[in-house]
Amino acid sequence: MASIRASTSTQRDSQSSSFTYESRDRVMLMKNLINETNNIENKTSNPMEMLEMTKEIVREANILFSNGSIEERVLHPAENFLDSQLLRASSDVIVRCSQAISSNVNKYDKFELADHIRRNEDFWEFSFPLEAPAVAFLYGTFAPTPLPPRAPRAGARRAAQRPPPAARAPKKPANVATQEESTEVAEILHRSLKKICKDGPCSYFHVVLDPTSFSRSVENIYHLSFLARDGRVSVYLDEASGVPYIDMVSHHKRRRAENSSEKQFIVSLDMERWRDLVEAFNINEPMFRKF
Amino acid sequence: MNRSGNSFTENQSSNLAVNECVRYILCQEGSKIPIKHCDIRKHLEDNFGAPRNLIKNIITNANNILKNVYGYKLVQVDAKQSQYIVVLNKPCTKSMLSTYNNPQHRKLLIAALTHIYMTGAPVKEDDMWKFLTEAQLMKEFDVEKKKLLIKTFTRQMYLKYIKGRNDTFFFEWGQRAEEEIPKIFLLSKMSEAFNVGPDYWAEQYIQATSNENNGNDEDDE
Repeated sequence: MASIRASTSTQRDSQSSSFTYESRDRVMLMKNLINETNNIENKTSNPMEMLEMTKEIVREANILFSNGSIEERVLHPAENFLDSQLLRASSDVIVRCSQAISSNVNKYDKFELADHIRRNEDFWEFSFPLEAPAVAFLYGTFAPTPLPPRAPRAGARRAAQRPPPAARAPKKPANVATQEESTEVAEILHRSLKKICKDGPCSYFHVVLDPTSFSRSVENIYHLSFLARDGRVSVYLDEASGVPYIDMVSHHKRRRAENSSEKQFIVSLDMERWRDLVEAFNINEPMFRKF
Repeated sequence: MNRSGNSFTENQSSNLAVNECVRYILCQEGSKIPIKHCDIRKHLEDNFGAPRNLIKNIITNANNILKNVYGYKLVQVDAKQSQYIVVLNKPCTKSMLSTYNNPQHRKLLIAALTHIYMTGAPVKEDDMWKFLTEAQLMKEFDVEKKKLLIKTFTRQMYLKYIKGRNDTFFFEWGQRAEEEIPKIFLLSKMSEAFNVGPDYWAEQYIQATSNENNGNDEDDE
């Protein structure tokens, strides 16, 4: 036995050996390896060490296995049987190893985390400690690069001249119906305004705002804008109070003002602002009942 | 800034080049897409006539300015192609998110990174979608959000999208995430969320504290 052992130690160092065991010897060595395997767990409880030992044993077994020729294998099935036994023993060790390791089990529960994220979205929104903040500028650069040149100038000029006449023609029939409508309503509005503003200019918001209906208020603004566009009423900001006022414009003034430059007066109104204005101006009932 | 620096002394023109390099880097970094070395070189050569052999010096000097003036630093991310990302020189845990960032995207990114880290291994693509859907950060077949992770975050180097066996794809932390987020930071968020100590997750804690040691060593240099 000892002599065989001695030779195995030299065997270990060189993968390719000229020395060939006899089947009998191999059987003996295999049995030893199997015993060693079964003893691993007695020698250590550290899973990493167990793995190392198993690795060693398997490596030796492989060397042993490659030592015999195929014909011998066929003649001596005991070797094959032992080989598979060794395989079984070593894999048992490994399984127990991995079970031991996984008792340091990952306590992370992805469903728990997903649940927490779902319920506390804002908690999981933050900047990273070493993240360079992306800089956003409120205004652009002082020296912007020039815009890429537009399509050829001559073509642009021609194109600018062409659309207006073309655009006007189709627009006319489409707008005729609505124009008539709005003119009608505007007329009614105009007549009512004449009565209301007989004694002088009235507050714009008092005229247009309908505390009962947001959409009505918008319509009033819309109709009034037509009157203003046609120059039949004038809308201006009172310098003292900063409040917009409406005043009627006589035919006289209209003709004079016809050629004056366009001025714009923009009213933006959403539901919140409408409510605020109604409250601020203390408007309790609409000026116009029905159209 | 006068760009026709022909009449300037060499020192002044190289200062100008360094400043221009700093400006270029600051402008580029916002997208979080890594800045290519050759792009910096091209920009400096074309606009400044900076000689090729001085580019490395210019970038080093620019990095110094970034560190001393802005508290930023350049990190080389791709040894071959030489790409850079910009991160902070010293950690700062209390900064608000820039208005430039999309909060929804940030939540997705944080969820993905935390999931990968806590799992302790690359996460399969399908598992990631299930997780994010469960967290109600996306709908199950939301192509846009998937593209966000697969394309955008990958390009920004926050995530890596790699092919595994059998044509399955996995998500891993990208290099930018490794640079910008100390693992212990995420772990402390987890412990805050679940009311336990960070060492509750033993493996992750070990990983986080060993990483921290590496980080500290860099600072001491």
